[in-house]
Amino acid sequence: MSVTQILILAVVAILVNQLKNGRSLALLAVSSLVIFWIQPYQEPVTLTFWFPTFTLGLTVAFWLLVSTPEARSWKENRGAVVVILGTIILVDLNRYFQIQYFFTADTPRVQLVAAILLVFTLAGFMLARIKRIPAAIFVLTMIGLIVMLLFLKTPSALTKLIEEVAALRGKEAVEVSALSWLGFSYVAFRLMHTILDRKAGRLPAVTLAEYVNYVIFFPAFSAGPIDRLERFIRNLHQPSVLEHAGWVDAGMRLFLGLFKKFIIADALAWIALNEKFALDVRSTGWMWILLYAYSLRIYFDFSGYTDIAIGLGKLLGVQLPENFDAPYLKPNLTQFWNSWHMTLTQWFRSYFFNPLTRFMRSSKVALPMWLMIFVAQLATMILIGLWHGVTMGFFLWGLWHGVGLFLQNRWSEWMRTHTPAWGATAWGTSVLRYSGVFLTFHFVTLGWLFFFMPDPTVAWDVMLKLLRVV
Amino acid sequence: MNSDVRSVAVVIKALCLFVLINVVSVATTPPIAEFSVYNSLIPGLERLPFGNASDPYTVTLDNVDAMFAAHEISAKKESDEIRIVLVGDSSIYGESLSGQDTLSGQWNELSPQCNGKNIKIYNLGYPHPSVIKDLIFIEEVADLQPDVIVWFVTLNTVMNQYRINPFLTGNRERALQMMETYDIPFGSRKALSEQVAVFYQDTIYGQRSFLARWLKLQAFGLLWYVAGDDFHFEQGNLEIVSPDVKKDPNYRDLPPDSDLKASLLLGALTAGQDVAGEIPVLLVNEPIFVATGMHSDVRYNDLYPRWAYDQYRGLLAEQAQQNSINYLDMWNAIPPEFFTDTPLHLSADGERLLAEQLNPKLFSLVCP
Repeated sequence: MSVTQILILAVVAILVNQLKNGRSLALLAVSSLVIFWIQPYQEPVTLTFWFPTFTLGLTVAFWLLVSTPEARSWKENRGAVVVILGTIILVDLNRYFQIQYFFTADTPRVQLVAAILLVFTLAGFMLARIKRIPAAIFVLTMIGLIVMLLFLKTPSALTKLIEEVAALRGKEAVEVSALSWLGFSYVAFRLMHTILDRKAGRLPAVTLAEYVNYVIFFPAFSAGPIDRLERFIRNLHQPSVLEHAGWVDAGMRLFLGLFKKFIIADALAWIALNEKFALDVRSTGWMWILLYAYSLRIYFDFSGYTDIAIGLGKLLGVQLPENFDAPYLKPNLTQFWNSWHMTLTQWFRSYFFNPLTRFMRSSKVALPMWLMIFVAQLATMILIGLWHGVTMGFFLWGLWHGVGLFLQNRWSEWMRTHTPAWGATAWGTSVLRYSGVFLTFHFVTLGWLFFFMPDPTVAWDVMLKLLRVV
Repeated sequence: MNSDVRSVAVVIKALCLFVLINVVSVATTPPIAEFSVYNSLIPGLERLPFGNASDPYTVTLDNVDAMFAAHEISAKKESDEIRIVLVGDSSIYGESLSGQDTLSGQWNELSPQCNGKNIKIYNLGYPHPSVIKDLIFIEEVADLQPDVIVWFVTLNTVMNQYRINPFLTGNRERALQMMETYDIPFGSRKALSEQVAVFYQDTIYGQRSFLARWLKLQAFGLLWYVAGDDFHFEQGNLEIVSPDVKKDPNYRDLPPDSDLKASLLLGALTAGQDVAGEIPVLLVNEPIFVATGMHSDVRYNDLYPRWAYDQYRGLLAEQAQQNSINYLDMWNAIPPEFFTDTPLHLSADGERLLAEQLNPKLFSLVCP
């Protein structure tokens, strides 16, 4: 998002927050329009329209799946249905309005979109009548969503799909290196959260407007944080009343985010290490400095976006969860991951790490504790890596952190019983803490090589060069 | 004091400070463009800063002071140095070539020397074909102690232009002064002179785009220093110019056998000698791709039909002879296989060949 877009959204957020009635529907309309507005141009061109439409369609389908029969009453949800269908039709009509700044004008024919919407709306009405959904459907839906996510994150699979679709249409395939379905990674995780909580019987009853607002809440749509449905809905119904201090707080947070993202991160991006520089830079010392620039850049970029999201949320009266807590100042890797992209790691902890650990503990074969920790941490971190993209680089990045967490866990265990006497003194505690911060920062910084280098072998070579092994 | 008063006061103070800084910047006009980390903290660039959209690590400034401040030509001249300056367009700049593969880079590789002095070739090419730009560069470089200026032109450079481009806007006063002093009937002169300078443009806020690019250029200095690379050669897979050319016999909107003389700014070439003063100028008609395929009887290449280019060459030679301009016509000096994506851009080998061919002429000028 550009600064202008963010400032426009801030004004919109303030206006929506002033509404006494119809706030939920107004927010739904705004969020629905925003996801079309911020969707990047995507080849083949009609996907620029279809991606946000799919997001809305998928979200509605999941609501039908996870909502209780009572919450699906037409009377309560007709407003949301009209808003969602109206938004899609309105954006589609841009082929006539040609308002290029806000939406793509390369939209499909209105008859086609209207026909598709009609079919899906009727199907939705039929689904809404089903009283009890078999548990297997939840499992299948989860699998489907994971497959979809994996598919979208696998560059080779995407290329193949585009070629196949083009061949079916008798056209030449457009060269596409990646599909940018904006926000889908986050949308998928919110949807999975609701499915898993619904299956566990923890999900509150929500209307269509509440559910869609949660999934596509515009401040957090493209870069998180990943909130929890019940907390979000509570806050949506009882928005924080912004007094003077609240406005100042929201404004400060928004401007802090803008400063971090558009001044610090964008300036660091000019000199941040990349594959090209890595091949050309002649001195190891300078390579470290460029790598530090990358490490700081990714932090300021991501945490800046989070500040912007939280600031916009506050302007709407919604307190989004924090996502960062000075991660580079943490003395060990566990604490780093408790303060970096916190909502994602909490998600994985709740829905993968903890269930996996419980499963291993209850397994008939007694596994040693260290092995359970190793397997759970490795698997969790590799999955977090692959969430960014199904590539060898992200896999190795996850592996790097998984192994790092395990080693740090073992080291901490060992230190618990072997801490020398000096380690308990104030001086010793400081030394251990600062050396921990130093080591953790450098471990994380070296790990970024796998994250951003397109070729893992180059990343490995650069790492060896940085460590003066070669 | 309650918090309401404090926050309002902060906003008012910030606005006042913003207005004050902008007014002061207009009143004092700080010479920001002349400050540079290049040639002070780090070595100057081998080429003038210029960036295509596809080059994320280069930047275009369109301000001659800032551009020259970043170039190695602004460094102090060594006592045992003979400075040769190349002025020209993208072919001299070396678009799609690394710094060492450009004409100046290849020429320096030949390590020319004269009576124990090192001859150093400086690249002041810039991807904007215009005699006005070249005259401004010659004027700017004349103060930097060059021993010879080699000025490369082609038909497109000498042809009159009717559009205002960002370079002319960025150097409006100097461009207008140049046109007025030497009475150059530049096509966009009137439009350029009608661009009214407003107060807002001189404020820091009005110059924010230039300031951001200037700042970016200084930051890129770190990369230049640590990598020795100006990162201006992203184009790995160039589409090589075809031996077949289009059939169209027109040159721009001129039909065959039109009189080109009125459309060429030949007077600017004489002006170049005056601007350089005592410094010898060698005018070179740069090499072009000579097509051998389909329709090559109509055109030399996609840029130039034969009738127009032949006429231009004749007029250029006549102008040089009448005004005692040191002139060298290299139009067909380089075989077609040494050209790359345009009929003017040479490959690294082509640049080498050109340097070898120009070297004797250069020696006759600097080392008689």
